[in-house]
Amino acid sequence: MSPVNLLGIACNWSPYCCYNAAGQAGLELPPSFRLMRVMCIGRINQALILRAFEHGADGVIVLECEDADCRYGPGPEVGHNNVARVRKLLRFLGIGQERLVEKTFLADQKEELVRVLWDFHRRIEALGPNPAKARQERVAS
Amino acid sequence: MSARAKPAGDRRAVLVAGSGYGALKAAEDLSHAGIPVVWATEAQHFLELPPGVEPRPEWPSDLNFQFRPLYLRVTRHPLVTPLTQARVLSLAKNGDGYCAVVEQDPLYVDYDLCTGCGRCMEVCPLGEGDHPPLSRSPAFCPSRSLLLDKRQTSPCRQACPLGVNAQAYLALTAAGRFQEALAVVRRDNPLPGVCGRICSHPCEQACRRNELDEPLAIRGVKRFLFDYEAEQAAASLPLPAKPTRGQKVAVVGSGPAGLSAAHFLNQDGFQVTVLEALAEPGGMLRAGINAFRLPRPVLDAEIQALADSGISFQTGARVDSAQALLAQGYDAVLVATGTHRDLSLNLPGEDLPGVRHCVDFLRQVNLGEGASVGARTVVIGGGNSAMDAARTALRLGALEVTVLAIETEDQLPAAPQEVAEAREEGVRFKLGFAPVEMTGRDGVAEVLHRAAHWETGQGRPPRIVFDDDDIQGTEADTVVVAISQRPDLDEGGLGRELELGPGGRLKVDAEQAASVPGVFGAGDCVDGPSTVIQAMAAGRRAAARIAKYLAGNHALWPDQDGVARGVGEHLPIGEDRPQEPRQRMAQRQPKTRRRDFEQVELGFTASQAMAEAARCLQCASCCECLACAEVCDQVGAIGHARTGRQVEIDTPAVIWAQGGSPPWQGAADGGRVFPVEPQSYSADLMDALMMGSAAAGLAMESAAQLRAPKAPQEIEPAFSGEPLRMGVFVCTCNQTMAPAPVLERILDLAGQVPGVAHRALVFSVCHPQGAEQIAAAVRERGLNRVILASCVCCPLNFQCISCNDQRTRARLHLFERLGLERSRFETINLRDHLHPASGDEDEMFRRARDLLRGAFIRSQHLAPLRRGVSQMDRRVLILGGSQVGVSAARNLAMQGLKVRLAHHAWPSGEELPAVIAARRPAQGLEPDITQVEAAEIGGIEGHLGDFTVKAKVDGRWRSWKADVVCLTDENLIGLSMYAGRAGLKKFYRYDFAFFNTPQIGIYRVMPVTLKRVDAFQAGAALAGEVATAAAKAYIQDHQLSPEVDPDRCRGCGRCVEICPFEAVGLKENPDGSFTSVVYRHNCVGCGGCVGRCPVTAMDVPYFSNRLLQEMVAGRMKSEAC
Repeated sequence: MSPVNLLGIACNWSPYCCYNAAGQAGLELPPSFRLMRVMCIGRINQALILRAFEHGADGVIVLECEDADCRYGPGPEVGHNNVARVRKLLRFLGIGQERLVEKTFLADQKEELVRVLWDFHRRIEALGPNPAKARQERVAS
Repeated sequence: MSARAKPAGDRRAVLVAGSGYGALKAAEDLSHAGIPVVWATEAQHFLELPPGVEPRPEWPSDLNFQFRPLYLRVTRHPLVTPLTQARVLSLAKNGDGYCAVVEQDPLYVDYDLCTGCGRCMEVCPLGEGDHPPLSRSPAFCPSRSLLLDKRQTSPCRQACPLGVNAQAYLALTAAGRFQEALAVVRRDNPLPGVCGRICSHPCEQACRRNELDEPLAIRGVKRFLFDYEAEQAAASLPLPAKPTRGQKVAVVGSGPAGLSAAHFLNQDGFQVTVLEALAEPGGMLRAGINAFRLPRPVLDAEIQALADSGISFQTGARVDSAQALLAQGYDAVLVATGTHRDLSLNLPGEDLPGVRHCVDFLRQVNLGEGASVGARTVVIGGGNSAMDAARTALRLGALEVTVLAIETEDQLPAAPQEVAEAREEGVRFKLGFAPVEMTGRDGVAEVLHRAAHWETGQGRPPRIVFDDDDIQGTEADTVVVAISQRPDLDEGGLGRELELGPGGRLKVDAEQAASVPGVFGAGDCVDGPSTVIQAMAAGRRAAARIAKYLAGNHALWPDQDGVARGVGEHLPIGEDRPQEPRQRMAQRQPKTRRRDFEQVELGFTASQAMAEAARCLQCASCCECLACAEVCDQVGAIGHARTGRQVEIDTPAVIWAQGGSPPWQGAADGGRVFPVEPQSYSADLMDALMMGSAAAGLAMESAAQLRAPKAPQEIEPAFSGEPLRMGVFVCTCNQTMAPAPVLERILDLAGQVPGVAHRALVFSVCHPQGAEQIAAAVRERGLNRVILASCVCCPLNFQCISCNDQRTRARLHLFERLGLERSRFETINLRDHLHPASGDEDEMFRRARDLLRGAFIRSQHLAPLRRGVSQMDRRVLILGGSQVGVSAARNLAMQGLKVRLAHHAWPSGEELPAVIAARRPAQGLEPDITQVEAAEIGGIEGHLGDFTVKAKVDGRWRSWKADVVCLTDENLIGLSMYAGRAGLKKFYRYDFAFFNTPQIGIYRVMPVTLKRVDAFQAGAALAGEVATAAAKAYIQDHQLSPEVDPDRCRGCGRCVEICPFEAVGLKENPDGSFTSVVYRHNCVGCGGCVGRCPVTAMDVPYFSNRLLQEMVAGRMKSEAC
């Protein structure tokens, strides 16, 4: 298996709470995983998700609160919308829509978060590197 | 200290008693409306439900996490004094309000200082046990502050005259921490080797294990600890830590009392000289105690340790005058000469050759002065000295040794173990007999005795009563009379200059002072024959008095430490605790050991000592080994000697959220006591919250006078970002963040990054001193960017669900107390992600580097936060004269707000419903409420702090200005709801704000709300909520509100559509196109519009799109930092 790069974009609220709790509990996360925290998933625009693939991410996972739990209201809705759009674009670009997923969490679901990340890690590992990566990068990885 | 003002004596505040969501809501409304609150609960944390309330199945599993931000906002609010483990002792009417007395249990872990680093838990010897004394508050509690369960002091420790902390050294021994255990013994007892062998161990008699099976072998464990150390190294005592005092003290006598006094005086910095009349120091320990019980190398080692710690010993120095010593330059003299003179029976034949007296006899044997006994030896007396004498006689070659004593077996004053060992060695006992005469020609040949017993009566000394006239005889070549001793002060000069009492004992006053100033007395020469441990306690007591006499500090060593501490009963003995016999110490066989003076008992092995120590029930839970206090030294959160406190509160109203009724002192008068009934939880959570708000609103009516207007905080001018001068501070979290080499590597790495002008380790970022260290460096070194690698992660002045107390506290210290500018700080959460379980040091470093890389990128691209402040004029407009509206209007008017009330109001284009039209306007309202009977409302525009309401009154349109608008009739709700936004309720699921509308500053009363409480309470609750906004003098904009780039915006309106807060609108341009505009007063800073914008025309300056892109790019680069 070749090593892959995963980017997680997490909302500050429930998902980040799970992420911290997982760290505190010493749960192991996939080594390929990098996290980027924003105050609400609504803050992320489509361009940013695409940028991640442009910069060599092999998979991006958007971690958000459940719809009814959003502290602000629009976050998950914006998230769903953006993810759906970018997935279409990814298919169109030949990168593959399965490289972008979104998941929702409650604040006490640290085990669930870890499980989801490992699942994603395995799936992307099976898919191999992002084909949009420069060739030499793909060879190197 | 923290930003919170420290409680000081009497105070004026609203008392909120109890815990749970209702109490939390009440405390929130009050504090956010500017009213000081004392929140007292018996619970350990504030979300604990009131007694009798169970969580309901329909509540979400993460409910308490959802409450976390609110919990933090309230408990860390500067106007809130949170008191956990506190109860209201009494409530009495006092003028218009009440006087409440609240008592708080001692807080052994200071909530304001504890950083939650958890080192105390790591070092606690009981951490792995069934009942760890230290625990963390539940995960959802924002404060991960530790809780310490310290019960009433254990009985063993209370029973010890010296207060030696047996529970602690047993706990440490069970954990295999022998060295620390011995250090605990030595804290109170400088002679562990001696006491480990010959102490009368009152601790074991008091042991609660007696209720279950057998007491702990505490003495045996202590002996093991000393012997274990002796195998590795010479015994040593701590060197005096304090600067040496100039004063000199002479201690006359080197027995247990003298040695103990000398030790404690020496530890306190006095220059101590011990004067001993005999050739070697030790007093009765050497002269009176046999080597087979107390081997000389042990005694020598202990005395050597005392000498090494700085005490001088002079032997062969018999003191005849204390005054002479004072004249020689000693500032005080302690007489501790013990009891070295035997008492006589005063019977015929006592002067015959062959009749010996015990102390004299033992001294000859023990000091090697040559002593012998005949084949048949009779020892008269039943105490420990008699047993010593009998067993010594055996070892000197006596064939037959008989102990003759009046007492029966179970009355014998000697320790049962001593009696048993003597018997094993062949000593015979003739019990129940009193000697009457010793006969013989050239020497003693026979002891005549009669059956007798002690007769004790109240108020008179015991006397011997003979049972019959029968005289029996026991043949004897040697008789040892061992019936007690007395001091020999009257033989020397000391008795001439010092006043003596009965029995030739030194007379001292309550301060242990003898009749000559500067001369003190302690031990057996004052108290009569006692035990080693009692004599040592007396020595310490006298040392404390001497220290007080010479230096004025008498509280150095409490006479018995720890007795009055702790909260609650001892830990119960669980029914599942098995019975386990105590460990037996190996002993030499009786027939072998009676041949020599070698030690009889061989001591515990390490595994025996650990097994025995593990039997300890740990009665007090916390054993006070103080290992935790040591690792918490710099943080200073743990204080084992803290006491509880009482706070007296002058409160205009009380919120009672714990069921039951207040403890009234005097007549009950509940006029201004507002309950949040536990029953209010029975329907659903919102009811409890409503009750909380209603109680707060009602309390505010009379508490408004306590409100102090708060001006916006002075902050530093915005910084310039150029040239980049970055500081990197890595929190070691009291050395628990990561191994030191990892932290060093992180600092090294930071040093290689261009622009880093300063880097340092901080012991704790959330500690007041840690924050001060950072502030000093930022100012001295002119840093314009700071990266805090700690557990702080919040970029803003609000707390999210992953926030915790440490993060909040760092923020309070750095930005509010020390006034640093928030936006120059970038924080990363190392704390949760450098878990030792997660990998080796390289892996930790890799993770830290990854986190730091993100911080460097963010730090370079962050822009200043927005800092808009608007003034508030405290104007409230209430539309609708329903009962709720009227109740709220009156309440707010009483709070001193400017209220305008429109009794009948309706939106333009609608009719006033008949029900409302038929309602007569309320009468007799306060004159300072501006009243309007009927108004047609044309529309509401503006934002919190500046609403303009178009109203048509008496046929004329007017513009009403208001800071806050309340819609209190059902027909007006539409004014707050915009088309297609009916589903907005979900947004408030966890804001617990039942009156809020999408427009901040407009409140409305939904019909569902009125099902929860009655209209009067609803009005109060509304007033309470309104006051949190309207009573403020200033409001701050949201610091994250976005900006629109008009060149990119194409006016599609998606941002307007997505924003539930009416914070984005469209502005028509002259050319007919539209551009978005942001209404910053309505913005909550979520960034939803920014994310929704298809053309990236919107951006948040502080946390910009560019920054996010750089982050993504940086995260994907593998190596370069």
